[in-house]
Amino acid sequence: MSLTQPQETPTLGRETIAVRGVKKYFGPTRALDGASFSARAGEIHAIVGGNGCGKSTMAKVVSGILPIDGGSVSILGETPATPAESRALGISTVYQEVLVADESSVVDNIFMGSDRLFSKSMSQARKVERARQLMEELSGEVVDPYALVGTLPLSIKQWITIARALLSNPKILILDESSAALDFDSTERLFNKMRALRDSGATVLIVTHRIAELIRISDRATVLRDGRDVGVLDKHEITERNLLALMTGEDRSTRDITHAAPQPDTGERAMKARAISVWPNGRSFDFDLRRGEIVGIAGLDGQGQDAFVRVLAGVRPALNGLVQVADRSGAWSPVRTLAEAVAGKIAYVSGDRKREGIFASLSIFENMVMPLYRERKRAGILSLIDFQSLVATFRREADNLMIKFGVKEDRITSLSGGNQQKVLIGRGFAMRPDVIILNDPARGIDVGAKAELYKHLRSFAEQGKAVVYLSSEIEEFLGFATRVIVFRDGIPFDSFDGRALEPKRVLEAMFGQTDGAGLASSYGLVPKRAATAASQGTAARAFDGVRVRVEVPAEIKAAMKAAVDPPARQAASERFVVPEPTKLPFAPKAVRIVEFDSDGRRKGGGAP
Amino acid sequence: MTVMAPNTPSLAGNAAEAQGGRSNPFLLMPITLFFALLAFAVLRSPNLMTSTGIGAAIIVATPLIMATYALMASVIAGRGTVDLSIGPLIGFINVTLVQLHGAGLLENPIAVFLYAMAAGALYQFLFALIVIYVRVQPIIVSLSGYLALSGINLVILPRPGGMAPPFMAEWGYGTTIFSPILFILLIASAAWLLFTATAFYTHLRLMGSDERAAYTSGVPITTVRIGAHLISGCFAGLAAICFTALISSGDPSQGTTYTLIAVTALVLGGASLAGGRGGVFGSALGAVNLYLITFCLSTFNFGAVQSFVTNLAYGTILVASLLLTLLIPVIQRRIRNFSPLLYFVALSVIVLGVILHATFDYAALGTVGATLPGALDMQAALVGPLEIATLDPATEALRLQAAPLVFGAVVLAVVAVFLRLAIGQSSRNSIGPAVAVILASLVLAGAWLMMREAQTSQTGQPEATASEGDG
Amino acid sequence: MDMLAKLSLPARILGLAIGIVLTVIGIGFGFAQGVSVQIIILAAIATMASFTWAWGFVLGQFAQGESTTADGISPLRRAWMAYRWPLLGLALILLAFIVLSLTVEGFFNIWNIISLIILLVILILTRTLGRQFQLNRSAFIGIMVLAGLFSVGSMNIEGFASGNNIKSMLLFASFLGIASIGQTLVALLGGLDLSIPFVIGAANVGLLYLMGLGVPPWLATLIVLGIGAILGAINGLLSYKLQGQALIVTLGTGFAISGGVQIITSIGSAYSGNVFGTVPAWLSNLSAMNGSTFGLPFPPVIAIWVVIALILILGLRLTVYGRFLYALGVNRTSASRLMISEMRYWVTMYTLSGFFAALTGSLLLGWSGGGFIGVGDQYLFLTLAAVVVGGTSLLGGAGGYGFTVIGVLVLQVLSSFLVGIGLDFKWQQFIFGLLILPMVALYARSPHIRTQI
Repeated sequence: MSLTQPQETPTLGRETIAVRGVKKYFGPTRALDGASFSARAGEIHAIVGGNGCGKSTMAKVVSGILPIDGGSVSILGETPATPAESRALGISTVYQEVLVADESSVVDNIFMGSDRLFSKSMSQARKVERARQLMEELSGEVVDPYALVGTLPLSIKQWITIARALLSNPKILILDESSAALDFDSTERLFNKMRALRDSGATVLIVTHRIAELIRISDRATVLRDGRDVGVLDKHEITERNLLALMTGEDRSTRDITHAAPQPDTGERAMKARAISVWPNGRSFDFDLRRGEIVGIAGLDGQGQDAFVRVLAGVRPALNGLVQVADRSGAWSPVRTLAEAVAGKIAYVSGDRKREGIFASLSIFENMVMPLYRERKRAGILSLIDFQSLVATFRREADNLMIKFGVKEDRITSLSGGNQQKVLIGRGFAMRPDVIILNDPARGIDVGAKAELYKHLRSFAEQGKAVVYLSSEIEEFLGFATRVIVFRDGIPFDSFDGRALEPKRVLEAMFGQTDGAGLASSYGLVPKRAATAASQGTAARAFDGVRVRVEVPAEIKAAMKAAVDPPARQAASERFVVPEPTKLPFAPKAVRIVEFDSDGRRKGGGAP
Repeated sequence: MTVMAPNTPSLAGNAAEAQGGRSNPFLLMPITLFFALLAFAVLRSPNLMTSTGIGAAIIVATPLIMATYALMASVIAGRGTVDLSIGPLIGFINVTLVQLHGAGLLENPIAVFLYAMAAGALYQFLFALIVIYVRVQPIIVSLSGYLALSGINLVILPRPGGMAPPFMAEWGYGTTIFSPILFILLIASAAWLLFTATAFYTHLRLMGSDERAAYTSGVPITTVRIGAHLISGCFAGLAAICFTALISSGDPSQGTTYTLIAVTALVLGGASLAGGRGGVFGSALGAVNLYLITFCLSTFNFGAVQSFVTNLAYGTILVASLLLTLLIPVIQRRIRNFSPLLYFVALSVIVLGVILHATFDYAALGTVGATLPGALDMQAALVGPLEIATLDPATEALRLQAAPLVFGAVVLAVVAVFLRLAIGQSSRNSIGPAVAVILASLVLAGAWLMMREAQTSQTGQPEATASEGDG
Repeated sequence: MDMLAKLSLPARILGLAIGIVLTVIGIGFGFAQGVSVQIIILAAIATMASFTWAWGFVLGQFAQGESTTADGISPLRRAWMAYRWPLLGLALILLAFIVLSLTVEGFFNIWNIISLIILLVILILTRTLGRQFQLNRSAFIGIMVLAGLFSVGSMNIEGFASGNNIKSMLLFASFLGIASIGQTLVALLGGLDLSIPFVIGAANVGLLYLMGLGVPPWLATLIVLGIGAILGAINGLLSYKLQGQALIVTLGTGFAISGGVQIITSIGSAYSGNVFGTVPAWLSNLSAMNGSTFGLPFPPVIAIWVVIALILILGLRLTVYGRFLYALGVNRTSASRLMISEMRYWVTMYTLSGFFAALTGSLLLGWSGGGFIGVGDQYLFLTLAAVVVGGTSLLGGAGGYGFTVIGVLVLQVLSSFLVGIGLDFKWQQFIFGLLILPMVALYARSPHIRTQI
């Protein structure tokens, strides 16, 4: 693995992007701290790194959106300062966020920015024709070019942004996490398009944290960590191991060894979910959460795992079925709303700090203890806040989480991202919950803070509390999660034992490349039931070790749509009835979800 | 009209299975309201449909329409740019115009127009610069402008008075349809329609709908925003000229009332105050609707409380039309392909019948003969608006002969339009074709009846049947 | 003087040069206008001294933290780049002073020079000390401006600092302050309430109408306040449903309310829009200039305002409701995760707004003694200006009623000052309009579009 300069290969084109020691600061945060890389014509170059390593900032710097604080950027010999300039240079960018004008038509959106100020680049009729061709070619569906974009689904909107970028036959194409809203087939089509563009001599720059994708597509990869470039990998060197080693640095391996995932002492359950579904046409499934365990939730972006943890936390209602939480005496109460979740001592911590976390203009103190205001008030109707007891709580949590701050009255925005996140986690703990549900809390926080967070959560679990932890980084689960459940297409797809967790296998499951046998095991969705089932001899263990590949995930979707007809769904709402998997027109072994009826008997899946 | 989807035959075939809907039901409300109000107004006071009535309507409504256009140009640009200072700006141009004229400057009509539009554009240019570079919310800038301009207006002209330039003196009488105001209105509307065909307008709409998308796609948003404000300023100048013509003097405070009315008209016209949506058709309809509301209310003769009733009506209608926008998503789900043109034509036929019924001089039929130009007279119906003076008998006879031919041609054109629409809609799952067929037959029936009426009235026989057009 | 030491040589020379030029100009004007020599010398020394001190002090502040800049730019240019804003500001003020001296006869006198110096000192203090008050900078600036205006006013205008004038300023400030309560609360949510002036006018007329009908005054007042609250609740509900369009909604309801009340009061009356009746003595005493509070010689409305202001300031800081209001204003998604009911707060705040607007209308009736629908018109933008000048963000979640109190006082003193120097309402309106922009630009600039992607 050559970490410095890549070896010269005969097919090299000229250098098109040269970034030298670029610095970009956002207040106290150093998004880019002297990062360099270069890309050539005729290659697909990946910028890769963990969350918050500055790769998106790099994409914005290269596309001319963000001015830099230091260093130099040279693209095709120039330094564009605005998107308009970079477009004139032949640079097209597709941003992480789907940026479309909802009130305008598809054709206007695709040709956005291609016209001069007063004159059009081509006649409207030709634009329409071109737009229709392009959309059909890219998305594989017929899209009315006159349709208002606001009426289209997200994936089509994403295609519109890609079509806009491809329209001008760019010399440099920058894709910033652009496959987020696309499904498997679409991603493949996008990759073909990228290869064609590369072969015609353009530079394709992809920014991604999806290792599997970039291994397949990229010719070279620059790895960023903490705002610096830590290595460049050539095509043959781009392997998961190399990437992970570079992305995570040295300290990661030690952490894996020193800790073992907590294991529940008793089988006592903290929460149970019965026959819930989180997607409109998604199948329903069961889920148990035991006291003293940490359940990791994983999946590619937008595969329903986010919806699942929100349902568990009562932030959004389940489409079917019921989530219940046990109080300390073991009595079950339902969780349908946020209020019921809070009453059931469930705390929810979102990783999306800006949007659903912090109160930017309020103090650190208030940001942490605000949920306690209601229960700790004095003077009845006057509702005076009991500052004394709240300060004590604040001190305790701030010490526990080792939050670094000046004065507690400072605004929360004066803290770094990691410390802000700690305040939010402290907010969760301040409510003294029995169950804490974290939705990708480690997004954008540094390694040290992460380690402290894991430690804290582990000791929390050891007190007999339960943790549900969604993460977009598989490596977070190593030595931390008791079991890991992987979501795909809105349902759990596979499950893994935290004691013997292999990131590669989890990644395969995220892409639908495993058999899903883990779901029925003792580390599956409902561990206790699996254990009893095993003792009765009807376990799904027969399938352990058998690898059945799921060929085309899209077929599963299609078949499931066909299988779930309205009467069946109606029945499902009253009594849990699932369409028998054997009736599905493809091999029943493909998805191995074990279905149970309300009495706990096995309905289908798993065993033949 | 900008929101209408062109309907090429090649598309009609596969549009049904294509992704996405084109439906744009925002014009549904203004069109419905327009015809409802028009029918009501005509029934209440048939005078509206005379040369004087329409002339007065144009005189009164044009400043409002212009103000609405001015507001529209900046509202489309997004960021919630509802320019509250538009009223005081009109007042400002009005009072400065009058004062400058009083000082002996600005005698030339061209100079007056240039001054008004330049003053509006300059103000809006400053506005745009503040919004772009100081980055204060546009609504605050407009509030600030409202206060400052209202104050300075009173400084310039403490109380209503002064004289408008003499060449404007006759514009405000409103005795004829073809006043210069009408030409200002038509030219301004046509200019906007032409503008919508340019790339600049596309940029503007895209920027208003999603500024970040436009910026990242390389749309020069700074230039486009400044351009939108300049256009807005020019329209404000035109509005001020029409306003000056209307009152023939200077008034420091009355222009201010245009703010609320123009905002209401814009919302009534289906524009989105958030940006990206709005058109000249909807805005003009919204403004005309407001005029019609005032007109309808004035027919009731509330006496001294007239202005209070108008205030109450404006406020209520503004809130109600805002609430109705909540229904738009629901409608959007139901109607996939709404054609504002078809709807407009359909309702206009119905209301035409109402107008004919209302303005039909039943009494005159019984007493006098065809010599009186009754409203249903062929001549009046077809060439009435063009009438300038009394015709010599020869021309009149010629016209009467030509009238059935012209009439037939119009009917044929209407039928052709309907057929075109019916065919265009036939591949969709909509009630469009049925509506088109029914309306076409209604038009034909109406035409036939009108022919008969015309013949009977020509021969002076009083056996006219009741008008059936109002069905 | 260690501040000055940090200044680069060109900056110091530049400052000295400008100071000398200004002094010479001042002396020139002094002689041209025939001012006595002593005053000219005094003024020249004062100008020179204050300018050089201000220059060094201000630039010293700016020089901190900007010590490392890229090389290769000429020192003069660098000085300009670093100090252009204070330079421009000072130049503007001095330019205005010179222009005024040139145009207005007798403007160049010792009092005005002292005023200028006070202004400069305030500017510098705000600039330097303002940094220490990161959180409440707007309040600090407001107090400085208030102090400056007041001292300049009391020096230049006879009777400005007299007890009577202060009392009348406080009286009008109370009306504006009570009317601004609703605007502040609603602005904390991120909304706006433009129906306040119409409700004020409607309450003013409606109360007199009810009393004219023979309803007991206390009952009539209660009815008016209740109706005001109900109208506010409707406003809140509509504004909540039509997110982001509060401004237009409330403008519409305001017009409807104003029209509706006038129609009601006109029914059966020969004088449309004019209502006649007698205002009870207690209501007059509440808000008349010569009213007394428990024997003390100031109108009770001032006391009422002070009490309400204290309750509100403390309530917003110390109660659960107050803090949740801020939470909702900053980030509604986060707030909904804490189960803070958005609709309830919108309706409540608009209800309070309607209530206090009706209260203002009633109190104004006591002050004027006659009903007039347009009595609230000037509050349309004054309430907004008070909120904005005080430093409450119109985007929600930052600020508070304490800030608005400062804003109200600043506006009131400024308006009194403008009246004192002979500018009437229209000029005040003009100046307030221009004042809002820089105040908002100080606290509530939107981020650049680059940072939003």
